[in-house]
Amino acid sequence: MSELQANLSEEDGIFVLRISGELDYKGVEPFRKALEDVFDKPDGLILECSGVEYICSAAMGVLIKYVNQSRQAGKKVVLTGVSDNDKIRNPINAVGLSKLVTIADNLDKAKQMFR
Amino acid sequence: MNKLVLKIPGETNFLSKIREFALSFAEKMGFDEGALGDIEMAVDEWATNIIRHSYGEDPEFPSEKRIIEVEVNKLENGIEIVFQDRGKPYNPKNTPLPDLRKHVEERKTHGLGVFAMKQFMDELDYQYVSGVGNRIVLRKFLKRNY
Repeated sequence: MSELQANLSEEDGIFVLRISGELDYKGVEPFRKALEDVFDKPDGLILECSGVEYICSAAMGVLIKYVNQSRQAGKKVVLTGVSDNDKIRNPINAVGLSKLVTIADNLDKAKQMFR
Repeated sequence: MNKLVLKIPGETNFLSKIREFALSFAEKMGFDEGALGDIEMAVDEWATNIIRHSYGEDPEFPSEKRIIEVEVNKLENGIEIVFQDRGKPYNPKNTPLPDLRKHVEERKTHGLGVFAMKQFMDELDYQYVSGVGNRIVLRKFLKRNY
């Protein structure tokens, strides 16, 4: 069990926010802050989640809100690292998040969506 | 071991301990990875509800009494997880299931926890014991391959 970490990098001109650790209620505010801090990226970003060990419903709510705000601002948000991550795939599917958010199978495919 | 009890402060710092406690018991019972994820989420969501709703909105409630008691019981065909707190009544059965599309349109970020709990567990019983607090029983059954 580990604390939430968020690291931003720029790869091939695309911003990638790597999230790792546990996204339980304790991690919700740091997660919201991490997303707010990168909202100024003009084209949007990739949210890489392969290191996420747990995601609670409140964190999914934060994500839904962020994706909605990004869309309204004409930006794209693509999730990756979900399909192969047993820890978060089921909750994301069960809550229906996978129908609301674009999910790419891997980082390369996520980057292709920005080209 | 057929039963274990954990008494722990009702604070977000202890959520991971509560999840670990229930998961280690469930693992020994033979639940698969998917079912363990379901149990983890249901346990976490209810513990969070206690912290936020039963205790969190009552500034008069002394911090030393914000205790969560978690009991795990081995059933013949599954696991039973019993939560007890001393806070205000909070009945998850009265919480309507959210419309996810509306959630997005209305920019709501809460209300998915009870949905997840109902979705992931096979049975849910709730009782408010006057003068004591909320008592919720979650059950999940082992799926057998016939």
